[in-house]
Formats: sequence, C-alpha cells, structure tokens
Amino acid sequence: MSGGDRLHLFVFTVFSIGVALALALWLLVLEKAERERD
Amino acid sequence: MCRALPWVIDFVIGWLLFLALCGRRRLPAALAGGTAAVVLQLVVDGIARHLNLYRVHRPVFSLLGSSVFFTFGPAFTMGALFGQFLPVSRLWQGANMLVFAGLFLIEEHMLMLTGSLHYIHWCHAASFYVDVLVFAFLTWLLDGLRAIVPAFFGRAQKKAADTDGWKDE
Repeated sequence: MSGGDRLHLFVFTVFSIGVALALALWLLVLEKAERERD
Repeated sequence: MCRALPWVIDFVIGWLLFLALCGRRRLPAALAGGTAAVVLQLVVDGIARHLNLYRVHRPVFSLLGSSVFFTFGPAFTMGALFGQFLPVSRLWQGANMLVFAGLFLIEEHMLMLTGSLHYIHWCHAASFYVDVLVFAFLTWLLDGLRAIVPAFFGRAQKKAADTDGWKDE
C-alpha cells in the first residue's frame, strides 16, 4: 500500500468517525425531543 | 487492498456506534429496523447493479453484488438505530429521514473517493432521492409495526391523532 493510499484511508476513517458522531448527536437530539414530548 | 479496507472500516464503525447507542429494552425494534434495512439495501443495490448504475469494487465478501461488510455493517446497524429511535411526531420523522439520507450520501461520497464505489450512470442527487424514499418506506413500515406492537419500541403512540398531522409539535 502506497503512502497516498494510506493517506486516503486515514482521511476516510476520520470522516467516517465524524459521520458516526454526527449521527449519534442527532439521535440524542431526537431522544431528548421525544422525552420532552412525552 | 486499499479499496477493500473502507468496507471493513465502515463495518467496525457502524457496530461500535450501534453498541454505544442501542437500548436493551428496544432490541426487537432494532432487529426489525436492521432486517428491513438489509432487505431494502440488497434489493436497491441489486437493481442498480443489474441496470449498471454503479459498481462496488473489492467487496471482500460479496452478497448479490454488495459487500457483506456493508450489508451487515452500516446497512444493518443504521437500520437498527433508525428503528430504535423512530420518532412519533411526523415533523421529526421527516427531519430524521433527511438526516439519515444526508449522512448516507456523505459516506457514499467518501467510498467513491477511496475507489471502493464507482458511479456509472448515477449521481449524488439520484442517490439522495432514493435514500429518502428508502427511509420514508422504513418509517412507514416501522411506524405500522409500532402501532401493532408498541412494546417493541419502548414508547407507545399516545393517540392516533398525534401521528395524523403536524400539530403535535
């Protein structure tokens, strides 16, 4: 695997973790909104 | 090798997120959402492959043209979380569909950048549109299941009128 490939994978991993964290944050917002509604 | 690893990385991240957020008391909802998402993903990607719309590269293990790591990774875990956190309010349901579809689109774009996914006769707008339709169908399906067995979802619909319009905000 070349250095460029490693860099691509690193960027992919970092952004994927970012997407996962964004989704987690959204789900927590949803849960909070539903609890307030109940 | 580089094109294969993103599928494995997505699988690991999807399961870590699921294990961090899943609630034990709503596991049947997760199972229903995950299973429905897996079926929908296989059907949509199978049709797209048949029509030569986009192509998956180096899936590691292939299932009907999709990567097994994607089908039983992000597709299952995100479907499971979608089922567990499905809101009652129609307004929040709409926002939920758009957020899930948007995040899937970002992930898809990153898979393209690594070379694991290649658009042939496809574009981001079409992908977002199909994702919204898939999540709309999942919402309809899981909301219907919740009306039949509310205990699976941990929270019941308070009354039918709550889900019939936008006035419950």
